[in-house]
Amino acid sequence: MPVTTLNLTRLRMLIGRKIKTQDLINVLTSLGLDIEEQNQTYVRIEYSPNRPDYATDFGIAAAIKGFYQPSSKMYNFKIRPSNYEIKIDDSVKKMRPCLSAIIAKGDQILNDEDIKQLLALQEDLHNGLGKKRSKASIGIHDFDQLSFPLEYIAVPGNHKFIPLGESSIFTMNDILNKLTVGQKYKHLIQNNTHMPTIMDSNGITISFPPIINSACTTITNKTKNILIEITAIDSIVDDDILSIMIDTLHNIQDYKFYNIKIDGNNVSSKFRNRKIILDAQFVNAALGLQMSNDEIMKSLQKNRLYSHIQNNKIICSIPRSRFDILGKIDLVEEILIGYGVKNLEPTLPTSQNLGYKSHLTKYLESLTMIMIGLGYTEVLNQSLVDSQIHYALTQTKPNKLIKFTESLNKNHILRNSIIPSLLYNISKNIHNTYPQKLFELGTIFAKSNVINEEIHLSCIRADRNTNFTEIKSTLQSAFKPFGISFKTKRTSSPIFSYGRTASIILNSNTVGIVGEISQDVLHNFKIRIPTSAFEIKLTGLLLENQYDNNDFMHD
Amino acid sequence: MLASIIFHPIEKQIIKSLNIKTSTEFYLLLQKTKLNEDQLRRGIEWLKLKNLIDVINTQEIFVSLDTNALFAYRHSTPERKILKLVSDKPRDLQELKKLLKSDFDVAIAKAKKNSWIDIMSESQNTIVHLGKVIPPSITPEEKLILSIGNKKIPEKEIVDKKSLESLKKRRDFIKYNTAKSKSIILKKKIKLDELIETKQNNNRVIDVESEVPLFNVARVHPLRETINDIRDILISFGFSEIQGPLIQSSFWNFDALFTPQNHPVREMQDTFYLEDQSNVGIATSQQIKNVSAIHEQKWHYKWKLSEAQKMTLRTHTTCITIRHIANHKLENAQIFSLGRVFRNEKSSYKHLSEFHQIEGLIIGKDINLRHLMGIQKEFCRRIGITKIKFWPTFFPYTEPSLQTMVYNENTGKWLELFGMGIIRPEVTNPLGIKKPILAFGGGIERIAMLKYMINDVREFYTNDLTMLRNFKCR
Repeated sequence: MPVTTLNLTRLRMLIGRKIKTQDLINVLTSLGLDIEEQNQTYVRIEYSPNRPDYATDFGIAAAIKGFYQPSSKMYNFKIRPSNYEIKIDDSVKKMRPCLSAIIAKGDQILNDEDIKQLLALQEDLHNGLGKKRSKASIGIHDFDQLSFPLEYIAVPGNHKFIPLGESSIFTMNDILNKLTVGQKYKHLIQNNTHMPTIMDSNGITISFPPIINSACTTITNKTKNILIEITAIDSIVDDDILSIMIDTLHNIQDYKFYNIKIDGNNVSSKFRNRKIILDAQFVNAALGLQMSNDEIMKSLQKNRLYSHIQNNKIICSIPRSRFDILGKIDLVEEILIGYGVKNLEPTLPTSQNLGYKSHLTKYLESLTMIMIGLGYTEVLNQSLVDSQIHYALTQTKPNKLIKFTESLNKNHILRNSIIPSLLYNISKNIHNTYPQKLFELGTIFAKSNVINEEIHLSCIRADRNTNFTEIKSTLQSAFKPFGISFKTKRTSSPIFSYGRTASIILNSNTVGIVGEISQDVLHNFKIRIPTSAFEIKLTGLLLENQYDNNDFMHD
Repeated sequence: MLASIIFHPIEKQIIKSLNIKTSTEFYLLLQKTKLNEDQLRRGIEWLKLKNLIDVINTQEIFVSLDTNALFAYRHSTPERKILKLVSDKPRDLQELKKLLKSDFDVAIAKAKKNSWIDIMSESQNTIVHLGKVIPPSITPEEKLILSIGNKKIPEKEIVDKKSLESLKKRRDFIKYNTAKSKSIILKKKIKLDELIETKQNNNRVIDVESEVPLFNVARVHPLRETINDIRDILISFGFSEIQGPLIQSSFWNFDALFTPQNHPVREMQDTFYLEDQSNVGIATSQQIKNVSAIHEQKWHYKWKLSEAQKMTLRTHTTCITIRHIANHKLENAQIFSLGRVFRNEKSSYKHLSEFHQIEGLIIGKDINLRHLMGIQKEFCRRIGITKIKFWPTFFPYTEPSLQTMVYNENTGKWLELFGMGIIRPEVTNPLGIKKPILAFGGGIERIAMLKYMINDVREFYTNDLTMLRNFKCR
């Protein structure tokens, strides 16, 4: 989840109230923001990825302000008509076809902290909604440095301009190959000969989306008027991002917004509110409350959502920037936050249901009791094992290795038996007293054409006097209460000693292996005491199907 | 008090002997009691446990005579030998050399130093005469040699330190040995006659109050105990257990739960995808059709079947429970699943790439969010946590979503224990589920860490026998 740092002094200034730190923390958490870290001067909060408006302290201050002092009227920013225009050339239609933009004219210049917050928002939007710029990217420009109309057009890679943060001219190819940001996002440029740019009417390049803006239109602490342009692969994400940018700018100061004609069309129509119709019964059924229409409307207001009543239904207006609200149920959450989770009284359901353990659990519990009775201590190992321990140390070769497309630990594999894990456990316990008797009941993954999950029981015994007879006796004794008696048949295995290893046979099927661990394997694990073990497949042994239900039969 | 103490015959032998001499060394006690060494050691251990004796281990340095001194002890010192030869008559130096052999140099040097002899050159010969000093019949050094004799004597018992020092300087005269000795000290004399032993059958009577050695107990794993506790609590709430495979199609792990195909959690860095595994028959064609439609409608992208067919290690267990409700068309049920889940992240003291989760669903007509909170509150109370609060939060497939925060007395911090919420209609509608489903879930290791006061989650999987044999029942 994304994280942002809030300076408490600045936050209080933006809210315009003196609020005690503890009260601020309480409001933040009741808005659904997680406190990551806090001290005297700042708090670090985690916000949900579908609320990018919380990426700046402007957005958070606006939310807190609304929470404390809900206003009864919705702010509707007006987008004024203008004659400014951006032309979209056909050459970019196969690259990033969509572009939307807005002009914000202000009375005051931006300060350094405002700029910092805007850039943080830009970064959040690039990574989140913009999917690391692959879906959309944003340019923020000093409007007064531009001459309209602008043109969004593809130009050859040897086209030159001064990129942001540099003092000399670069070709676009050089930007991709020499600048860090170019190398990082180069893969988003599919066409190597022609690349997208936005140019003004004097032929000055202002942007090279999605890589970098030009130096000449950078916003500074002298900028009053701003142009925001967003290029994207689809128009929905394009407008989502623009709506968040407009919302944030509005929270910075009372900017006047001007429409830009794009390919001759007005964009302002896109920012009309949606309506969601809600009835109190739906809300009350979900929350277990008896709220009136009026109470529901007030709770919505605390989250800056405004509604009116029509035919006893609540008609809620959703601003364009609240695209996280997909339907009625999302409004229930807004109402809950407005009502206050702390005011919601927990209560137990009057359940008529009877609870049951699964058959598998009952069976495994019986087997566990028997193993404990035989003096074996339970261990739990992970299914993700190190291939080095699993195969190299046991001198076995995987016939079919189960691997992952990508794993942080390169040696990670899914285990196909438990014995190596138990040998590893014994090797890590050489400082503890003997005899050591361990067992594990767990899932293993057997690969044939598909991967089969099987439940296995494995036991190991490290003891001065252990031998084949003893471990076979443990096996037979454990299954006697289930009415099962196995046959054993001589076999060989790299893990076990020659001449002291047997297959476990039931109804002429091999279901496991039992024996004394070979000297070589003990040596590999640095175990200096005789060790014997068995492993047996339980799936299909007592239970026909290991799951009670038939949900997974066709997998 | 003593009357209640029962003594083994071995202990009685030792006490009898110590009653005579309350502080006795081990080897002496061995002689006096006529016990063998093993019996005596055991008896001493028992009496020590009864707090009747003290055992003091000391290290002592012993002095004994080395080869040259032993010879002197049996015969005489080299200087005494030369004196005897010279007192018969003055003798030629060469003659003395032949007579004294290897003692010659020492004898000449010592006797000369004491002025017992005089050496004079006469014509071509060197003659040895008696000296000016009349030798004493015995020197202090000779006295010391006699007193040591064949014995080993503690160094501290030798009074004539000066002679010892000079003997030490002579070659192969004095040997040192260190010996560990053990003194057994009876704290208080015990009258054995007064004791219970006068009763009949005293040989069958043993001490029933002394300490005994302990066995290693075979036990279930602490995490298993936690899992069993949790299962019992949920069953008592009326929940039934559902289990299913760890390997799941992306369809059930993600798509059916309304997680868009371009969502970051579906990236390979976050989820384990099995290489070369994909599944054709992931769900019914109706389920696939409905799920793909809702994705395209709400998330605005082209849904791909091939993405849904990729096989993963499940990242949660809701894929098991939601499918159960959908397949059995349940309208009124409480079910839970408890098992392993996987995340492709680095293991640390806080996180594991493979861990256990408990997750439950309730479906029914009059079920609401307050019930979910009630279940959470009661669950926490049963595992011993009373200080809890609820916070709003965000989860991809529930709305509204809450988290249960519990206060950890150990660290003085609030900790997230469970997440919960109402399953989104975008999940239930496409699966044909008509009634709302409420869900909750959380990590089991986290609960076990609170229960056993363990701060590093990896400890549960190191399987250290000291821990597995001795962890406290809670």
